[in-house]
Amino acid sequence: MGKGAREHQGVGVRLEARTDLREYDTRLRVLVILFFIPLLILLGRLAYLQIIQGQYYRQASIQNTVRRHTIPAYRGTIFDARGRVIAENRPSYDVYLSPDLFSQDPEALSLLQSRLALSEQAMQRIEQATTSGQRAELRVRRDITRDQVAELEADRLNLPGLRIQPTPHRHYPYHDLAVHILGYMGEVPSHQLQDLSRYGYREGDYIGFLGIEEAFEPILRGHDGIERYVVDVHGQVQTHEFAQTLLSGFQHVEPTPGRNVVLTIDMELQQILADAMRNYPTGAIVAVDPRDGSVLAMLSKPGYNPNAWTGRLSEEEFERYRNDENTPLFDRAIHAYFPGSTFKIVTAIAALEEGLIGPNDTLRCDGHYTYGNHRFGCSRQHGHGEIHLAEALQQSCNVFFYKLGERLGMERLAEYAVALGFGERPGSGLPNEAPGLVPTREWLEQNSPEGFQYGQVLNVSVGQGDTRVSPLQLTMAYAAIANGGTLFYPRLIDRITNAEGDILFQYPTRSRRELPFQQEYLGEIVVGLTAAVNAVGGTAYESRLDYLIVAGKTGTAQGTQVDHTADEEIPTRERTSAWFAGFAPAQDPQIVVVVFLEHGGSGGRDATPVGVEIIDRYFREILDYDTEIQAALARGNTRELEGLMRLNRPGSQSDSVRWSNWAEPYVFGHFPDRPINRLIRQWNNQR
Amino acid sequence: MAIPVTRRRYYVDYTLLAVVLCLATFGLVALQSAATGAANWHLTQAGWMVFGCAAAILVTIVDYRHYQRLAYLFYGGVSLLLVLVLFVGISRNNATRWLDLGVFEAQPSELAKLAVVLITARFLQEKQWVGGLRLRDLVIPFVLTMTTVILVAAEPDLGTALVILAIFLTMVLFDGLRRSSLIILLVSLVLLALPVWQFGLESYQRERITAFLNPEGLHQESAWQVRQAIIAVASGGLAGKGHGQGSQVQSGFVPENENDFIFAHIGEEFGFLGCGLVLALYTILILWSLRIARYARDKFGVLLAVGIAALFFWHVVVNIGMVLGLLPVVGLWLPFISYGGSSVVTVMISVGLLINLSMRRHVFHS
Repeated sequence: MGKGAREHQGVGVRLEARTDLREYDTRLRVLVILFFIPLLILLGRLAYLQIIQGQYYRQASIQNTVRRHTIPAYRGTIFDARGRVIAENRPSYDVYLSPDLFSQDPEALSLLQSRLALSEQAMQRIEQATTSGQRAELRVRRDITRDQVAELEADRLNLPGLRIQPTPHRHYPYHDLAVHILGYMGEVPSHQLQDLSRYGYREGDYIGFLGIEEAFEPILRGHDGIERYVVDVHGQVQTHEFAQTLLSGFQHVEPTPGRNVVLTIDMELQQILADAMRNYPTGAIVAVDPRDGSVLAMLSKPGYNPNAWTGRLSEEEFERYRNDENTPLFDRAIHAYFPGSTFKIVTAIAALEEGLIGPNDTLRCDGHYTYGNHRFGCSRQHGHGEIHLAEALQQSCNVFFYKLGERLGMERLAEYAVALGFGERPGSGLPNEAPGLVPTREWLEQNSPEGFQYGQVLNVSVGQGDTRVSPLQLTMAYAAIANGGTLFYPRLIDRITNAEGDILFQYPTRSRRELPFQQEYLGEIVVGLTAAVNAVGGTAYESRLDYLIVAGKTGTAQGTQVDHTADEEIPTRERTSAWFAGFAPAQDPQIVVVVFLEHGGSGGRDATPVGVEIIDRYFREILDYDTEIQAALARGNTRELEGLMRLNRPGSQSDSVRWSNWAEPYVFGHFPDRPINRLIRQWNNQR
Repeated sequence: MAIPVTRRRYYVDYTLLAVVLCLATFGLVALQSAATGAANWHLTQAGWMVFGCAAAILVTIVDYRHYQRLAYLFYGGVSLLLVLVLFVGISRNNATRWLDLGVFEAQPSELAKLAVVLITARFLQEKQWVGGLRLRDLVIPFVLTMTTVILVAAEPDLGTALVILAIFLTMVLFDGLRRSSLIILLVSLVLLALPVWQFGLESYQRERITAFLNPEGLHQESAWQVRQAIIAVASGGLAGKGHGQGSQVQSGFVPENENDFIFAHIGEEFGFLGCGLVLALYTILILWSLRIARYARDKFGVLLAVGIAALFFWHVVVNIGMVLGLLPVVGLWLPFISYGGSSVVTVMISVGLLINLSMRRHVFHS
């Protein structure tokens, strides 16, 4: 109570003091204003941020949490003609990092470095990105092992913002076999990135280089899928209710796989090509079905391993390939070279068609030919004497063709060469096809140092001079001769299918032009080529087969050194290049093979055995000819055997033998002692 | 106590209570949204509020003029606690601010704010000056205040230290300084700032300020924090993203979103309407405190109310200004809303003092 009294007394005292407080009233009013103004500024700032800038910052907040990444699409598989997989996708894992979510903690950085064995350079890039708070994902490492994936998963919480993306990587089960047809996969080059970005390519994406991978890039490439998700500040995926609202249903778009490409190539034959080529380091072989222009196999040497090029190729290795003087990246099958004597068929058909020579006419070869003041030599020093066209082809007489060339003239010869597809890109669809060169008067006037001289036609008529043809071109021309005059476009792709295997597009046989050549004249050339392999004195006679009539033409194109007799002493680059262009069976051609051995020696000695080995193994191993002959022999059915020999096989398209009636006696008349003929006679006698 | 309980209740300042209740409710709603996982911050906070209410009632019951007498004693006790913190305090995030009291942990620096308000009010009311204060008149309270400021800054808790200084200066300026003294004070503050910047600040504190001055400069941690806070607030727009729907705050892009950055949380989830409401409530609270000051019956009461109004004002302006990117990041809580026991108890006691003042504003003749 006493305390209360004191209090009341105090209150009484203060009654007067209250008047002293009047001076505070003004101060309080000032304070009200001073306190009010900052609060008003805050309100203004709020209104500016939330109402005026609200939309902008809403976007910024969405960008913060809503992340997206692409789900790489499976690239289409490439099959060979027999359904073997020759380019496929191998599952692998790439590591991505969101720098703004990744910790700047040095421990996390060193953990990342040790787990992925990153280089200092890569670490610098990562550190730079994390300190600048870059939002866009960074690909840290490509194609890590499963063990590394497991390790990273275990450390997930210590490595925020890290993402492991399953990514299909290209794999070529046959390694370097057929690499020039397939090409390889590489990252989009930085200088093309801008142009390609409108097709959806981004940095680090793979794109096809060379071969089918490049040519069919838009078909093989699928559409990447999209995955959207909401992350928290540690990069962990959020599943809250607001996450669903932010994604607004658009979360996942399945990738669309690329389309499959089925080639006409038979990898078994491709292997045979590679085997046959084993002793020659550089060159090309093309094998084509003359009936529809399908490319059965195509080889260029040297090759490279495309698997090494996808993803893991080091700079060093890349430089090694690029600087290799044998240019392994280069597809020799579609590059143009001097054709040598294989080009003589062009002179031959031109002369026949132009009526400058008939099948039964002869020309004389004295071993050399003098034109103006220039002396042109022949392969046989003492001359071939009076010979027919077929014999000239068989023995590859230069003088004979000089004379024809002189009569034809440059322009007419060029016309026929162009008709047979020379000087134009063959049209296989492969990138970087060389058109080759058919010299014309006009071209020589413009490009030749000595200008146009009439004598140059002599060189061109035997495939020298400035003539350049690619192995593929030559193959298609020989196929046209072999099939009776249809020049096809090379058919490399059989069909395009979708991932389920349904055919989307079946590539038709495409005839480039029907050559208006008389069958008799074409037959005459076939006879000459047949004789070259099968008749004594033929340039390819050493390589003849006893069960199969191969027709072919050898060619030895000039290197720097004309003399190819002492090969061993001549440096490789100065040696002659060897050609063989042939088909079989001569009566009913089913395969055309062109062998080109760059600086490989002579056509007859080097290229022909390679070509004939391929033809031999093709019929015996792939077409199972051996088995059928053995079976026919075992059954003792002579007619069947004869049929087989002519390849009148049931079901094959050549039930009617296209082999001209007049050619058969000629060829068989020349070779009565063929073992197979003896065999047939023997069987006949027994009956 | 001579004044009957019934009469006392009659004079309870219901406006003030209503504003505080609104703010506290809003704070609990925001905390519930900020509470993630097992954390039940809103429940703990509600507990602290009950505790704070009890403390406020106790504070209200005793006539505030007793506090005038007890001011230095209170100051002494708090200072002792502050010294104690430096020696046996609990360290968290490189700062030693907490005392372990067994049942809970307390931050004596919060009570230090009230202690400084009390001693400054007492000191200023005791003296009558003609023509305003001179600096030399202020030596005693200045030394005492700076002692507190330095003790708090040593924890380190720069935000609280600065707020204590700001409250002290607000009260002194309110009471009136001579013009010459005012100029000297301002000049010496500027001169003091340089050595403090160079030697007195921790590197992270300096970084916060450079980040504020140059927000686009680097991906500094604090620049990033402010940027994220602004994104959070601004993305709320007019009506906000809804309770628990703020992608920024819920995904952890705004650290301390239950505490110093809770205004970002409110901004994102409740938008301009929510923020405007909070700001309006604070404005009413502060202006109402000044109104209480105006009707206070003695000088101590006026200064006490002004001191508490300044406490609210500085906390609100600095905290929201920091979240909105107008001021550098200093760790200051938002009264009634930020999570934290000591702060809640401190503001509740402050409210108790205000009610006490408004309850006893009339002179009674018994």
